[in-house]
Amino acid sequence: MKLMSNPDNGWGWFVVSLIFASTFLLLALGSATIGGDPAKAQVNAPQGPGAEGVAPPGVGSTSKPQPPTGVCPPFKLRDEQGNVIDPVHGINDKVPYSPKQTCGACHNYQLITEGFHFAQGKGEALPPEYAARYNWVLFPGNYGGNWCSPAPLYRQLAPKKNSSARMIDMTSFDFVTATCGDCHPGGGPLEYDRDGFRYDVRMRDPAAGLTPGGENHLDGDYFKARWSETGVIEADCLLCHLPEYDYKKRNEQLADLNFKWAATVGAGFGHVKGRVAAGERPEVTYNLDRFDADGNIKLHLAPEPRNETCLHCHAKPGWKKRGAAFSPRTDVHLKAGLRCVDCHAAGSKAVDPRIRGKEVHQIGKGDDPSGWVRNDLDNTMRQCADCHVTGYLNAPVAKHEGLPPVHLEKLSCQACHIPWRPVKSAQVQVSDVFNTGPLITPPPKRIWTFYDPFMKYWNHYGELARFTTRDQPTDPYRPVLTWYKGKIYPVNRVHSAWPGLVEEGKPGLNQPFMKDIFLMWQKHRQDPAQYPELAKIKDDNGDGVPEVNRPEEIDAFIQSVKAYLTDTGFDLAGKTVVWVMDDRAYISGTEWRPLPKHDFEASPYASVYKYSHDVAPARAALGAKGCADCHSKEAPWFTARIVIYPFGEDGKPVTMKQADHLRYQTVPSEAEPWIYWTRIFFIWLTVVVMLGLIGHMLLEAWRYYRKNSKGEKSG
Amino acid sequence: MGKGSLDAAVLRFPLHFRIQHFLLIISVTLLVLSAIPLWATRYPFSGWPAGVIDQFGGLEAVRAVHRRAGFLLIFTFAYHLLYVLIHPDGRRDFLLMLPTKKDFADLFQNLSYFLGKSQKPPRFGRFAYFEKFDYWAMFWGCVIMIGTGIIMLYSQTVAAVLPPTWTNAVLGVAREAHYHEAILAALALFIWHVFNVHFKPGKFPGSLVWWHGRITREEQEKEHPLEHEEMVSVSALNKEIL
Repeated sequence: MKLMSNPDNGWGWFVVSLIFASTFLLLALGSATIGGDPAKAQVNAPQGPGAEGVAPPGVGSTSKPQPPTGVCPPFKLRDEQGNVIDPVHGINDKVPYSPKQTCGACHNYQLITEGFHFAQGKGEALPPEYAARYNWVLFPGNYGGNWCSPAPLYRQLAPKKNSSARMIDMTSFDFVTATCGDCHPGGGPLEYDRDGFRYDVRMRDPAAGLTPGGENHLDGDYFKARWSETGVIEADCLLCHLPEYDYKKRNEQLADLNFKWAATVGAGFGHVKGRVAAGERPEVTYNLDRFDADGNIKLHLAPEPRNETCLHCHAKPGWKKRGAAFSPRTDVHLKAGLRCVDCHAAGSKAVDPRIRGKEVHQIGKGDDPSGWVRNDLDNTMRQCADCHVTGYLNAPVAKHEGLPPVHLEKLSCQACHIPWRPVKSAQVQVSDVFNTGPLITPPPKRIWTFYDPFMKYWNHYGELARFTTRDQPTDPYRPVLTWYKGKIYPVNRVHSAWPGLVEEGKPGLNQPFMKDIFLMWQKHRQDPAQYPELAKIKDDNGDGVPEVNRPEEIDAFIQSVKAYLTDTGFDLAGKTVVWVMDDRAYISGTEWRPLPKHDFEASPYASVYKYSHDVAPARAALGAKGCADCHSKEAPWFTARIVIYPFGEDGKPVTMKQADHLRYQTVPSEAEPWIYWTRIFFIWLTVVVMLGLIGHMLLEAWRYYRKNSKGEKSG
Repeated sequence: MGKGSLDAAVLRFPLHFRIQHFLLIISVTLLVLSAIPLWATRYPFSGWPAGVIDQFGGLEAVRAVHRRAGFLLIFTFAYHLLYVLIHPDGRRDFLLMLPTKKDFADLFQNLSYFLGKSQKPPRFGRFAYFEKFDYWAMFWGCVIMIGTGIIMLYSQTVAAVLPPTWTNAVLGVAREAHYHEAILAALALFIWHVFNVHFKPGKFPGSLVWWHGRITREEQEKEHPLEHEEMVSVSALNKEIL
C-alpha cells in the first residue's frame, strides 16, 4: 500500500502496472471462455455431482497466489462476461452485475458453491435408508428432497426425464418460483442443470433444441422454463455478507422472473425496469451513490454473517419445525451475545477439520435426524462441550457435581437444559383435509392442517401472515424426550397423515401431487356432488376441524383420491392409493400394514426435529432444584403423556407415558425393592422410636404431676 | 445450676467431651436447618420449598452449607473415635456407655415408677439408660448419616466402583436412608434430648454442664446415686489407705 500511495516511487508503479496487466490478460482469457460460444461453455461446464460451477478467470487451481489484502480492496462490478461495469463513467451500465465474475475474480467461486447451502443436495447420492423410504426424492437436500416441509404432502422435483406432462409437478425452474428461491442463495441447482450445463447457456444453444416456455422434451430442468430470458441465479455472496441486503426486493425480482437481475437489486446497487414475466427485457439503472469517483463499488461487507442474515431464512422454518424463538429472552446464548456463526463456524474459523479451510463454505452443522443432506458433515459445528468443558470464550464450565454419571452418559445436554420450549411448533401435519382457516396463502397450502404440542388446531400460516416470527405467542410446553443415537434428546416428533401411493416392487411410498389433493377438495367444496364421499369426513373430537380417523372416513378419502387421480389422468399404473397415518399405510378403513421406522420417529414420513436452540440458563435446567425435578411422582419427565397417534377412533389423541417410550419401566426410586424397603424400615423405625420416647416423656411428666399434686394435698 | 456450690462439684464431662458436644451442637444445627430446604426439593412443584431455597440464596448455597456442616460432623465423629481409643476418660466412658442388663431393668422399674406401681425410681450409675440411648442414637445416626451422605456426595466415584446393576439401588438406598434417618434424628434431638435436658420436671431451664462440665454433689447423688456412692467409697478407701 505504501508503494501505491507514493507516486514518486517508480518501482511501485511498475509493480502495480504489472499486476493490472496480468489481471487484464487473465480476465480477457476468461471472458473468451465464459461468454460467446455456448459450445465452448459446455466444454468447460462441470459434468457431474460436486463439480457445478465454471472456474472463474484467475481463480481455482490455475490461479496465481494472491498477496494478502486483509479486506476486499476497491473493486469494480463485472457482468456475466467479466466486463467491467462503471456507471460513473457510463461504461456498460445497463446490465446486471454478476456475483460470480465480480467476487469470483478474487475468491474461489467453485469451492464456495460446493457448500451445501448452495448445492442443497444436488448431485449428492441418496442415503440408502432415505432412498428406500421416499420414492419421490431425487436428492437428499431441499432440491429434490423433502423440501422444508415437516411431512408430506409437498411439491416434488420432477425427474430429469419424463414421459408425460401430467406427471411433472415441479421443475428446476419452478423450484425458483415456488418460493424456494426466496431463501436459496443461488449457485448449484439455480445455476446448473442436472447434466452440469449452465441453464441459460444451454437454452440459447441451438443444438440443444430448447425454447423458452416450451415443453422442451419434458426435461425436468427445462419444461416450460425460460432460462434464456431470465438468466440463472448465481451464488449471491452479498445475500449473506452484506448486512443491509434487501431480501424483499431481491425476491420481487425473482417473482418477476428477473433472475439474474435479483442480485443487483437485492444489494441496492440500482433498480431495474422491466419484467421478464411480462415479456420485457429488464434494464438496470445503477445508483451512483454506491460508487466512488473511480467507479468502484462502495460496500459494507461482513465476513461473518450477522444473526439477522441467518434468521432471514431460518426463523420461519425454525418456528414451524421446532418452536424456536431465537430470542435473548428464551436463549441463554443469544442473551450472552453469541452469534450464529460462533457455534456454526465455517471456513478458516471452523472447528472441525472436515469443513475447515479458507473459503470453504460448508457451514458447521449439527445432526438433524430428519435432515439427510451432507450427513457426512454432521456435528461439524461447535458442540456444547467445546465451550462448557474447556471454558472457551469464558463459558461457564459445567461441573455437574453430585450428579450420578449415568446422567451424563445417557442424557444429551439439551435433555435437561431445554426443559421448556417457549413457542409452539407443529406436532402434527395432516394433508388430507381442507383447512378453512383465514389468511392461508397461497391456496394450495390449505391442504396442510397443523396441530400444536397441545394437540390444538394451529393456523400457522395465518399467524405468519398476521405477525412476524418476533411476535410469536408464548405457549410453553415440555418437549417429547426420545432416544437418539444412544442418548435422550428433547425433540419434536412430527405426526402425519397423508395420501400415499404404494408402488409395485418398491419398499417405500410415493405421494400424489399436493395440487391434486387441493384441487380435489376445491372441486368438492364448489360442488358437493363431486367426490361426494369426502362429505363423510367429519369433526369427531369437537375441535371444529374435521379429521380422517374412522374406518368409513379412511375409505371415503382413499376412494376420493383414487377417483380424482383417475379422472385427471394421473398415471396410477402399478400404484395403489393408501392413506398413511404415522407408521401405518391403510389400504382401506380396516386394513393397514406397518411401516418400518426408528423408535425416535412417530412416522417414517414425518420429521423429527432435535431441540438445540432456546437453551435455558443452568439455574433453570432440570435438576437445578433437585433430583425431584425428574425423579418424583409430580415430575413429568417420566410421567408425561406423549402422543403416539394424533387421532384415535374417537378423534382424540392416542398417548403413552413418557417413561414407557423411553423404556423405563417406572420411576426407579419407587420400583427398586432395596430402596422401597429402606424407606419402609426407616419410616417404621421413626414411628416406633418416637412413640416410645414420647410415651416415656409423657409418663414421666404425668408421674411428676401426680406426685406433686399429692404432695400439695398432703401438705 | 442447682442448689449446691460449684466448689463442691464433681467433673461430669471432661474438656474433650465438652468440645465434641459443642461441635455437635454447631454441626447438627446447621445440618438440620440446611436439610429442610434440601428435603423440600422433593416437592419442587409446591410454592413454599422454592421460597425457602430462595431465602437461603439458592440451592447451591444450601448445599454448600449442608456439606460444610457435614464435614464438621465427620470431624467431630472422628475426634470422638480417637478420644475413645486414646484417652483414658474416653475409654472409661465408652465402656460405661455399653448397654447392660441393668439398663433394661432400670427402664422397667422407671416405667413402673411412672405408673405408680413402684414407689422408688431406679438408682442410676454414671450413665442412665436414657442417656445411653442418646449416645447410641447419636453414634448410629453419625454412622448412617455420614455413610449415606458420602455416598450421595461422591456418587460418581461410588458408582464407578460398584457393579453397574447395583448403582441405582445403592444410591437410592443411601438417599432414602439419609432422608428418613435425618427426620428421626431431628425429631429425637428436638423432642427427646431437649425435653431431657431442658423441660424434664425439675430441669427447666437447663444447666450449663455442657459448658463447664461440672455438677454438684447433690445433683450427682440425686441423678447418679450409684456413681456418687462409688466415688464416696473410693474416696473413703483412699483416705483409709493414706
